[in-house]
Amino acid sequence: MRDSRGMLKLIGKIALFLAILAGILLILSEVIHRACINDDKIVHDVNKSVYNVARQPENTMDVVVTGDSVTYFAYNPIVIWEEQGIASYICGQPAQKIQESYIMLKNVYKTQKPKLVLLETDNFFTWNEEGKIANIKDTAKEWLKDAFPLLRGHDVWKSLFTDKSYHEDCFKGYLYRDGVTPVDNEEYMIDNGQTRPVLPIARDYCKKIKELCDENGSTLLFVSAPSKMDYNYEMHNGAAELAKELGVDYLDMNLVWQEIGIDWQTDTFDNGDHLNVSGAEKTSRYLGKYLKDNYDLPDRRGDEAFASFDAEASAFEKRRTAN
Amino acid sequence: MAYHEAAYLLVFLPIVLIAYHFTAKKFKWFVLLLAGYAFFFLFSKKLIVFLFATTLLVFVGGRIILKIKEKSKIACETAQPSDIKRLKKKYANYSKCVLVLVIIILVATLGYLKYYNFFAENINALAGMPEGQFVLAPKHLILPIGISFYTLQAIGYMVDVYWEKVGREPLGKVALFLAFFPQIMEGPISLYSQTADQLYAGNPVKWENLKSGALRILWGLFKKMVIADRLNILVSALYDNYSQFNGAFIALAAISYTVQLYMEFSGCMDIIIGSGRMFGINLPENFRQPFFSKGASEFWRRWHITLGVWFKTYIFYPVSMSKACKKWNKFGKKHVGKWLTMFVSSAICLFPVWICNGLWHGAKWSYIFYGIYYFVIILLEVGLEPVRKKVINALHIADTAVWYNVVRVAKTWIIIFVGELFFRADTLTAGFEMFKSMFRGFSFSQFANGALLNLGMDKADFLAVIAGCIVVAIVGVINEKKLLGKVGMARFKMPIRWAIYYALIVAIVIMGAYGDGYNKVDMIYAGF
Repeated sequence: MRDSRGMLKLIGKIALFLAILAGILLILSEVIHRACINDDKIVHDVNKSVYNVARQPENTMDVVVTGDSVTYFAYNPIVIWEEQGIASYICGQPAQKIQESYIMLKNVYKTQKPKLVLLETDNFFTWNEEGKIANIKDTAKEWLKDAFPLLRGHDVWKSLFTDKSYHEDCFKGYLYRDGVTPVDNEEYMIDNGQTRPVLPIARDYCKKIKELCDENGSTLLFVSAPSKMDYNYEMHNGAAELAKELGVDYLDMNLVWQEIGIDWQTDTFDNGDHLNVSGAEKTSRYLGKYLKDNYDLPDRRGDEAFASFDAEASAFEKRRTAN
Repeated sequence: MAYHEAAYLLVFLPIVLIAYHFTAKKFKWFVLLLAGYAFFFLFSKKLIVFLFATTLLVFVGGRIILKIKEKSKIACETAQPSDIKRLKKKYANYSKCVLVLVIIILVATLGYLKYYNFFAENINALAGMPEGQFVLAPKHLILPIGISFYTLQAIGYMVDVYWEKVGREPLGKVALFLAFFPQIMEGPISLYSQTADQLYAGNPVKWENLKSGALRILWGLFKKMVIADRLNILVSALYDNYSQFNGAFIALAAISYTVQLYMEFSGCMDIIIGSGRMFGINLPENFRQPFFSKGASEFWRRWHITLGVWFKTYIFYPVSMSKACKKWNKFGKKHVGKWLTMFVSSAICLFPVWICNGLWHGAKWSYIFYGIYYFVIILLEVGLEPVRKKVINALHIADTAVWYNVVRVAKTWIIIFVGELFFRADTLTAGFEMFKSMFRGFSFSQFANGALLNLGMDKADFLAVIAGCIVVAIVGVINEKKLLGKVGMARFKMPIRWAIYYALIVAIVIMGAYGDGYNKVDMIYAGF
């Protein structure tokens, strides 16, 4: 065994090695983070909303929606802005896990002060089928990605050195999709008295999200976007039970899809899983009115600080008329 | 929790290392055994009983054989000289019976779990059963993780006891030999004499071992994550839709899969061997620059070395020393000449080796074909060796001439690529379809107009794979020519060494095919 001097020298060497390594990784993290903030085209689809949120002007989100893909296809903040003057933003991600919803929200609070947080219930039931350990690994992965942006954006070298780019028509978090792949208009929300329990991990994270909202003075609202393929009454009952338990309001738009005016023959681009631009318009109009009627949210139209909404509304209009 | 995942590298391995370090020397083996069982349990849950049963079976079987041998010695010491031969034979038969019985149980268990459905499927097809009706109904059988690997080690242990290479060993040592956690999923398949003593010795954790182990792990991660996992996108696209491709695309499929398999398997081996080294355990090497081979038999001495050594030790040698083989050699030398005797006896010894090699990889005709393919090629190499020597002598070609060896290596590459084409194909029919279609419309112009970029890999992916392969090739040349000598990286001054470490880490973190946009790629050989 080495003597104590030798041991100290060894520990010093290890510490120096790790310190330099940490330095290199931190510098690379910063370089990649900045590159992603500066250029949306180099950001992979999955991570777009993370950087989109960071790119938004400070304190311009009164309402924040977070959840999986149904959110950014169902809610169009431009429609809500034009109709009600409410400044909302969609922070959804493809197949966003509830752990990601929490991390996303934490990051939102770094630059925003939303009065209302809408949490999509679809991912209350998304479970890594590989079991408990796989779910723990998923959680750890999300925390690591948040702590080291390098891990999230490590692929940007492809865009920096070649012409690789990821384009997406994004308007305050809403992703534009036209085209129709219809599904029948039969009722799909039929109460059979059964309840699909919310997954334990989602239950834990919902509690954390509620606490986070309370700490930051936001109201939490559970929402379910219309999705004929994905949602059912058993899930509604599960989410409603949890909402009651946490003292959170719950708006399930699957129950009122006819009132909203959804026509599954024309308003979905993928057999009723997600809504297209016309479905999103109807849903957003309904949601906007619901928010106006039930929450004390200011009308920000005409406010200079919220000019980015007008700019994106023009861009959205251009995109819509381009077809 | 595969070996390349953070859960293994950043959680499981460090926890075991710490526990091992702080445990008294005489109990260190127990920490490794517990870790092995925990690792096994994480994958196979209650199927761990198969591992327990195998351990107990070979332990008890081994003890019985040793007891019989002891009895034989005692009986022979006290017996009349005229009885010694008879007694020896009698006891040898007893111990052989135990050995055969244990091997039958082990092989039958593996055979049932791994090959039953393949066997049933073929019997049903042969019997011409209509769909939904069976002579032998298929079953839902789940394989315990690493059964193909630990079963071979268990058989090896039994035979070594029988051959008296291994004596009376404690149960814990035998158990650990079969359940050392880095080896569970993909080997290397070690002989008892290679690892058991080291595992049981309770070697202390040393800084030098930690350092070299960590470097080896990093190198493995580079090969797997930067090259193999990235190539998986291309390989899957080509093999899953092979009927849509021909010519150069099929050749590309064979080459890319060969590269993927090498980078993945040898990369995982680096991680495994590096993990072992951290505990002061030198696991046997499984690869030795296989793409430098000048022939198929040399290739198999450099590729999956431990499987080759196992087959050589426990199948090739016993067959070559069998009475039938000896009789043939005697008969052949008298009646058919030296060359034909050697050729036939090689065929007798190699055939079971290569059939077993094919079957070991899995219950598929394409694997059996793969074994036969190498049997034929290696037999031809053995048979034609005298002709080759005559030809190069006649043409005055030096065996060491660079151009000549380049041609031989290139020939070996073609053999390897064709073999892997069949190995990866979903079915044997698909393999033949792909092989035939490779010759239809073959032209490098097929890759023009961006066709290559429609297979899931973009320009950057190709650049990463090519750059990675160049780095691996350079390291391969350095190792092959032993340019760094025994000291290895220690030859360099600290700043250069550290720069290499940092470059490797950054390359893995930045260029690794992991995270968003990539599918998780399971370890290929863990599936065998």
